[in-house]
Amino acid sequence: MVKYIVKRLLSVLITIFILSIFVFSLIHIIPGDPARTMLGTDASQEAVDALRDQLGLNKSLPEQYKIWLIGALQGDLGQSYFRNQSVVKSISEHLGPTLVISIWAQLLAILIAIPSGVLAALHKGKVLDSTIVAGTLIGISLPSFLLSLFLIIIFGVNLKWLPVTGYKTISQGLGLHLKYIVLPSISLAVMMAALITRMTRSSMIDVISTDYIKTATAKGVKSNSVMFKHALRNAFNPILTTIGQSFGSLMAGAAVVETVFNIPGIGQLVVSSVLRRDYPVIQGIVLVISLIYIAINFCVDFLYGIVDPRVRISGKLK
Amino acid sequence: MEKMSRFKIGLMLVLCIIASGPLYASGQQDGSKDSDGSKEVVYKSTLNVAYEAEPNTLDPHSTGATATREVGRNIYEGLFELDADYQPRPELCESYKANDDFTKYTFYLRKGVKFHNGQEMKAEDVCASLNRWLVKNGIPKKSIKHGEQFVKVDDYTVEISLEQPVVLLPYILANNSIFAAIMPASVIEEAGDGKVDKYIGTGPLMLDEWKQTQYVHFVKFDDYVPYAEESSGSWGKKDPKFKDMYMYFVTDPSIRLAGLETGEYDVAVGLSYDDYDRIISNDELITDYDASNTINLIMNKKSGMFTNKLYRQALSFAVDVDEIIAGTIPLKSCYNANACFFAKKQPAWYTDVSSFVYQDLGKVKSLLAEANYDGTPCRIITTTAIPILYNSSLILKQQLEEAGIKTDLIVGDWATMLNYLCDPSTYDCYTMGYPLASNPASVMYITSAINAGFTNDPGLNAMFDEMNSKSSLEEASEYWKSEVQKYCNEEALAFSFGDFSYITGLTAKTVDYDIFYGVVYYNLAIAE
Repeated sequence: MVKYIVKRLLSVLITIFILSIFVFSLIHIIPGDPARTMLGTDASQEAVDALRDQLGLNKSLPEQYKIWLIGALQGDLGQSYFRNQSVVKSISEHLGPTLVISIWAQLLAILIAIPSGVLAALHKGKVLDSTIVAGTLIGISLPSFLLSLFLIIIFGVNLKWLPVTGYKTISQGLGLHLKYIVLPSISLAVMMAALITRMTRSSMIDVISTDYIKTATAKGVKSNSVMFKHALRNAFNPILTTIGQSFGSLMAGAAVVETVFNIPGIGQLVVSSVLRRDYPVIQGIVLVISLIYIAINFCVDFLYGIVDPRVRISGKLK
Repeated sequence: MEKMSRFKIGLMLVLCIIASGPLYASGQQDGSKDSDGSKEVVYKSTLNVAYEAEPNTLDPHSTGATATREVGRNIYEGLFELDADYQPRPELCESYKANDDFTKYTFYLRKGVKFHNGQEMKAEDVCASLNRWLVKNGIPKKSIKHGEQFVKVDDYTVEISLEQPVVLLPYILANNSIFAAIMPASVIEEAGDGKVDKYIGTGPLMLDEWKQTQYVHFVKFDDYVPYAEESSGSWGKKDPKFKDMYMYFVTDPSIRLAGLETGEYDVAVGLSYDDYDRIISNDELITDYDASNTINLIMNKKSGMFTNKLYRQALSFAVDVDEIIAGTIPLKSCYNANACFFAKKQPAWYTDVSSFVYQDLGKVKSLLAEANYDGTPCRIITTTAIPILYNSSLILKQQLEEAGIKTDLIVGDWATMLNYLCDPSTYDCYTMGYPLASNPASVMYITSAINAGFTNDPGLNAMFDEMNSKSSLEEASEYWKSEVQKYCNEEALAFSFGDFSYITGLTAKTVDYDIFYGVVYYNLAIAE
């Protein structure tokens, strides 16, 4: 087990290292100069050069990368060119809203998707199944920004039930916090729910047709117990994989929804940083999101063992 | 059983949130009573503004970006400010005098004016600020070009001696793009050669917090010292009726409008022209605009085809100014097609240039033949980040192609476009929006001191010196209208397509407001 963890960690470190070089090179290759972006066309070339010097942009690229890497290894991701604060502080301020909305969206997606997927599998070929499958197609096809705008118009502008822009933290009041995250969470949840529903349906259909399920039914085990204790549990591994992958996508893909709802999350931060060429922030965000993806994968792997005893037992046998 | 209970509780929670939705809409409604004896008006004490972009810096001397100016005009003041007729009027100075040939100016500062840190504004602060502004800023260098400096005569008197006459100096000091903002000398000293990071001025609002990517929070400066009873343009009475103002950065115009409709915002700027009908049909909103923006065509005069005057002149006969601006600004009431660098509402500088700038494809053909045009494409750079630039570039491309000039449209984001603009080997022309200039020395696209097309025409430079040496503003005005504007058009140094306005939406509870180069926030009063 220890060897496995060490091997995984090593491969993760190598992946992150290669990714950081790739991203660093890419952002420096694309045209655009942070100093010129900050000062505009009106500034003299001398002023721009002075600012570039101040920001360390006149050093060679390998030297700039080395400075960043040494800092990153010590937990210092550098200073934002535009925000007058450390990259770590910028990211930590913006991570909260994205995490909160992603978690709520994921919970909502799971709450909708798993019962829907089970129902669809149980009624395979019937009207209910067709309706649910059609719903998932709509959910997958509908772009999140379009759904966001529909929700804003219906629940915000017309009904005036919910706010359409901004974000409030829990410390500003739980009720207020929830009001602000309902619409963005729904916007993100719909596509995730569609994907998880489809995976649940497909996985359940495979398991329902197995002999042990037929045996359990024939033995007179209650249908709820057959479905949830036996079938769903055995079908859960691929569903868990989809949930894990979709959460990672949620984090990375929240940029559009954050822009529409004007939520100060990681997505909005990365978009504004790319547009301004705030290199340290871009590098920092890529690193953090990579680490989040890795953490999610670790959690999913760990949960496999909890959900499926066969994984635990085969590990012990090895 | 336990799982079902949890499920029911969760469902009830969701239903409660949706049912309590209308409660959010009752935002801040506490106001401050302002009794005038006969009627009490209760004003909102917290204003919420939806603004379209976040400034990259709040240092007013280092950039002319609109977003920086929109924030800065609330915090800072200058020696002069523009009134509604685009005329400079003394603001932080109570008076000034110039010698007969406009080579020496003396400014008498107002006494007892406080900075936001409690310090009194004095001559050393004014000198430090203006000398820094001279260093950081290309526009005044067109006129103040021999390294002259502002000097302190006494605590409340500042002087500048110039090697060449500059009759337009008050206009230049009231320049609405790179703001000649006055700040404490100590702040400038602390900043050194870098940007200032303390934003302390004498204006009616103080900067309380700049929450990056979210908002700027202003609070009313209770010790603000007023200098006039009436207001005109950006000048004069500044009397905020609110205690707090939040300027939120909301990049999507449809979200700015949605926030205005739901009451989350009191003001939303830069709304989409396509939403105009929706705004005016909503009784809870009012809309206004002020044509203080121009859209212009800038040619690269340092490298490429437009170093040749014949190509520039061919371009001037290839474009249809009316078609370009009509295609760019879809609302007719929001623009005036006009190839002069000034608007009709600026009689001091406006002149009719239709005899110089008009479409004539026959002339284009003969000019191209004279120049031995070999079919090299004209490289037009633009960005989708700013729709008016992109749309005008598309129409320009089409017009040039119809006129026989091949084109190559290069599209990038804003940072990429800025990069190209500063490298003369990468482009031939581009369209750009500028604030409506208040005077010829502030027309950024023909002054040689900045990068706009690398204009550095000896004839124009000599004419600017001549204009600045006139014995009065009236003479300078006549000279500009009869000679300089004509020269710019004949030499085809740059083009204007006209002036235009963005749409601003306000809540119908707005009691008092003014729009002049954007919303004049400090005079905004919204009733409860």
